[in-house]
Amino acid sequence: MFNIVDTLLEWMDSRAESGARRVAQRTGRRSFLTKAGAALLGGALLPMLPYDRNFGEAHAQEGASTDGDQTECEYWRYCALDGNLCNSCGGTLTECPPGAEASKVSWVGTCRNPNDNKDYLVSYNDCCGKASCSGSFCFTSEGERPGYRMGLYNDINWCMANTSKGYHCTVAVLVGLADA
Amino acid sequence: MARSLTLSVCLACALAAAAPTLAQEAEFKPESVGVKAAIDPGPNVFVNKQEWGGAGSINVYSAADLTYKGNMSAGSMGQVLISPDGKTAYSQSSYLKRIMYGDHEQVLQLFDVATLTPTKEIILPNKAAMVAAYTPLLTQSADGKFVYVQNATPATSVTVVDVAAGEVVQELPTPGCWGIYPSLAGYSFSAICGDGTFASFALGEDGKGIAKTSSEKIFDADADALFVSAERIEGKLAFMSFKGNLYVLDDATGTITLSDKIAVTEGQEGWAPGGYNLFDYNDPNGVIFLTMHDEAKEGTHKNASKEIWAYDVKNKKLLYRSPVEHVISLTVSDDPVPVVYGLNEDDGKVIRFASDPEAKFVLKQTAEHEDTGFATVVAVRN
Repeated sequence: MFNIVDTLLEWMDSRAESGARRVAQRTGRRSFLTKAGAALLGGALLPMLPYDRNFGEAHAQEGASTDGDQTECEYWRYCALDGNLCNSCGGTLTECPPGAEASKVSWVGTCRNPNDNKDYLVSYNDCCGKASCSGSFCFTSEGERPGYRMGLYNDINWCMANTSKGYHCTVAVLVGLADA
Repeated sequence: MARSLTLSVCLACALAAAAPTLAQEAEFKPESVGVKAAIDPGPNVFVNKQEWGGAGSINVYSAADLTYKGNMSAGSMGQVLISPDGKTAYSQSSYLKRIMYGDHEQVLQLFDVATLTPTKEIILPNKAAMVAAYTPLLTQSADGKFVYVQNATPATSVTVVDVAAGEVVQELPTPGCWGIYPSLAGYSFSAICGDGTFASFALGEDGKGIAKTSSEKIFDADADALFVSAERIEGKLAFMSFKGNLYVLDDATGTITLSDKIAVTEGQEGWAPGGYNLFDYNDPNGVIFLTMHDEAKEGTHKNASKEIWAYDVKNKKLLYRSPVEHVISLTVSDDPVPVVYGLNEDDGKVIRFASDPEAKFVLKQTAEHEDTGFATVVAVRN
């Protein structure tokens, strides 16, 4: 039993260390990079994915902050997020900082919520039109694919369809259940 | 006022006293500012130092020891192409009027490498992909007549540019497909598609017209997706998959077919390729060099490498696993004794590795230069 607990704690520590190290490296050196992420909510790709399913339900859960630490890259919604967290840039988990534009298109990750073991569709919208924020930089790519699966692609600037195309930060919005 | 007058008088006294001294130093000749005419001769390494909020650059280093030779200045989120002879550099990048917002202009710039100066610019349709740099996103036809620009709005297409004419010829829709892989002759190119097929597009000599063909399904983008980085091996197109399968494809007929599929990671449990432009082929030895990481699972395909593997493609044999730190892209020279140049993501540096063909191509670091920022494309030209 103790072995199991020790192993689990060791795993958690290594995860946390890895995440922290990556944040330090990225924010120190390439926060500018902040590759914008991607996929779609709105825009040409919208009809291809079931974003609108359970939309209200998803938003009803959005305010819950007891499901994990939203300031850490290990937070479950961030499973395919490549960018600066807007909630460390003056915005929130789902809101761009004041004065920024929310991207018209976005990329989507499918992330498992460990609290209910359900898979959620997470729209990663970039926030646009301001200098890159040097807050927490996260870089995860579960289910991420290159540009031939554009709606899953997190290397690209998803401010591309906005009037203001400069990348600022990224939010993570629940838009549906993956198996709904 | 009285104090100013006193100071002026004293200054005049000092100048008078110094006059004999100046005369004694008459041999002194002041220098004049100048501009170095050209970079130092010799093979070059090019690194696309990409910026997302300002000017990016194409940095040029000596291939021998990574001495910094200078750079060519571009806009934001740029892609880079270096001509095969190493004399011309191309950059596709974005210029926002207020840097992070405002009117937007996308430009294809040409540079003379010897003098590091822009020689031509061609305004592009404002559709070019603003994305981390990958070599297949800015390519040219075999004879260099046309440059192909990857677009994403996010709908995908390719802008065909006639370089000599300085004109955009056409925008060619490539829905669901990504990357531009020119044919070895003529004006065709292929692209990877999300359904596991490859699309091929044949253009006329004027760069116009479209004849599209599609391959059979070749890969599974869910189970074992392909990286977009590709290399020519014995005239064929080679792609690496997330799980370490090397797909060798024939594009000679105008429609892509699968020639071979090689399990590079066979017997190497837990290891997988990772990075951006993550492998290259050394033709004289038939060996690929590939960035690899351990503890591989879904989502680790862009993890920085812990090793660079040397793999004999002809004999389908893993030769050597050289430990490295955080290399995410590489290129290899065409020399009989290959030299590998890698980009370290975390420290923002380019690294030179010598290889030893007598020792299974083990790599040994010989030089590095730490100023590459966020860079994912490196190229070497003699």
